[in-house]
Amino acid sequence: MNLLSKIRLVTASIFIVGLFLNISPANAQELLKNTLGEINGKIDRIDKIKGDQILGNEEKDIQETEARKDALSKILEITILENNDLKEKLESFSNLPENEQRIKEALIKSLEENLSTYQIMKERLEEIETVIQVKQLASDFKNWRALVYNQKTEKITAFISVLKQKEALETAKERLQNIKKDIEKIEAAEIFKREDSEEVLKKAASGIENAEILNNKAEKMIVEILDQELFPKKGIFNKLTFKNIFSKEKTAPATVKQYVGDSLKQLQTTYRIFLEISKLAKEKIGLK
Amino acid sequence: MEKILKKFKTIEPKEEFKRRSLAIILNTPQNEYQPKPFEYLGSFFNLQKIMGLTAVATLLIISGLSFLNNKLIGPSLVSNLNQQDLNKEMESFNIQFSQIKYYDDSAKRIEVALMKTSGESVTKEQNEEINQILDELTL
Repeated sequence: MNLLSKIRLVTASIFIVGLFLNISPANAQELLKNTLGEINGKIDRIDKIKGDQILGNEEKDIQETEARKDALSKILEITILENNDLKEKLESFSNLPENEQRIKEALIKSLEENLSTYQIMKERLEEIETVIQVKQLASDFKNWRALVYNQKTEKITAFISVLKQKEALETAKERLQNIKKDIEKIEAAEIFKREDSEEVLKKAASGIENAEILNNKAEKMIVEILDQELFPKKGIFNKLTFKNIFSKEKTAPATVKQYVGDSLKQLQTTYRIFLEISKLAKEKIGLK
Repeated sequence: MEKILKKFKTIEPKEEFKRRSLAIILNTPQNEYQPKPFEYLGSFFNLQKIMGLTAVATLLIISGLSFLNNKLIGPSLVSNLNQQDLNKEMESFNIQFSQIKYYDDSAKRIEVALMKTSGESVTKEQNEEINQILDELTL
């Protein structure tokens, strides 16, 4: 790494870290949504200037260049915000199995690799003087996002969704065990009869089991894809394997998220059962 | 001796002494009446009052026990079935998923925004989709 690259990396790091000081996960999510909303306003402004009949050509060019630069700057900002949000989400996972830990670290590294692109973008944006230049930069950034950023993000979010859901499943399993203990207590107090709860508890347990099966399917799929992509095995069949994986790769993250979504529906059904049990138990005890 | 004693009969205090003594006596605080403890309780607790107080105490005891039962004993039996906690957990699962869904939506949204910034034309369908995404995100 030469001196210029080092300086760029340091500057990019300061720029990006600066954007994230004191932002909690909940606030980061709000910030992302708000920034996305702001982009809409910036794009509207471009259309407004373009359609302005009063402005002279020269003035229109100046204003349009500024408006496009402004919009592009906001898009760069949100891309950096997303990059850091994903990194923080990945960093939050601990006690992962060895292969998933290895994937997690490689994904964090791949997000850090984006920093140099953001810095180059930022520098080019500052140097822009004409509408043609800003349009070209927007086009370059769009291509980079399509070829690099979006594909990375798609896989990373699929991986995160699986791991986040594992935590949710643990919470749901723990909740079921505790509810069973409560029900044993009120059965012992002869407030509840076994037949009142047996069937619904079975349904709840089965809901969690189904959710876990779907989550495991999603996990297996995304881990396999990321493992092959991040740590390709060397050998005579490597190309063939890579081709197979590549053909699956495009649709896999979407399928993973579909499984995660279906698993979530099972969890929602389970919690509705918990709420029904809660209502019934409180009626029997005589609580409102 | 007898003479002397008869003389004593005629002795009277001086007028000034009388007035001063009377003023001291009248200004001295009088001893308050201190009833004996049982005498006081006896006068306070007549039958009517006893009946009334008993009723109030019974009412307080019953409502207190019922409150304890509802607020402490009942929920402690089913503390893991607290509806608020259950809803909170379910909501946190949904939020996790919506945070992931955000990335799918933003990728589309930003692609169109970059197309517009770079001067590329955007189809009507793309525009409509973006508006829908924005509506969902800002809800």
